[in-house]
Amino acid sequence: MLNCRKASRLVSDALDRSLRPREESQLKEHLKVCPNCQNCRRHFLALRNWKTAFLAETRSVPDATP
Amino acid sequence: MGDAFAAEVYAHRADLLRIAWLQLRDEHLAADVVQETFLAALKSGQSFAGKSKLKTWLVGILKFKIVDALRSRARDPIAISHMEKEVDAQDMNALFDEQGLWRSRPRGWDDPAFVAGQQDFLRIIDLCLEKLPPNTARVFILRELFEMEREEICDVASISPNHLGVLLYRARMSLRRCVEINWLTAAS
Repeated sequence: MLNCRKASRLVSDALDRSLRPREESQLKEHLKVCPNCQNCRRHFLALRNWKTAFLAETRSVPDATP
Repeated sequence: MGDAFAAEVYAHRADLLRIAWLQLRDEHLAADVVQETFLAALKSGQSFAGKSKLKTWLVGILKFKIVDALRSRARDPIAISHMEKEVDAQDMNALFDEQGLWRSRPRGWDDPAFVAGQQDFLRIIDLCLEKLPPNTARVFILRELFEMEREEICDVASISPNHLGVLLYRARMSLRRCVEINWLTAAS
């Protein structure tokens, strides 16, 4: 059985590689019963919107380096 | 090439410089790769229907310029030893208890009401990216903005796939927390 720490790492990994069948089924099982990790997954996916937002907007900053 | 196109390209300078700086952490190098990107763009003389299409294309060129710059720096031993420190997962212990369960339940900043302001979202991510350790921010941008595959990032950054997995995980966890904290400030 996965704990949340391992599950959240797999949630992240799944965005970058295909999980092994065993990892995938373990994660699926964990997510079914864990709202906190479901939340984590939603947030990681929301971070993915950064690209779309970045490409859609143009900001007007005179100097981009701090 | 028309001046109008040059102006359209130039309008994206601040955003591109910012990304280049987050990647290279050197103002001059960042300015150089952005300059090279603009020269390549103007030379190609492509035309674009929309602003965001132009920007997407520019970011694509910038990616190659940055990857080149990173590769030529890959032999730098200081950069690598620096990176090892970032894998130290100390601050993960603040998020999880001994059983590996979440210590506290994060707020829902991805609720539709929250995400209403795209500008705010961008501003906050920008702020939070700067707070990450440099290599953590670097791989996150390579992955999420440039959409590079794992193998390519590992090659450019000279790290193992597992190391990359750790860095991306840490980037997402830290950004998530940082965004959460800043949404609350922005909303109040």
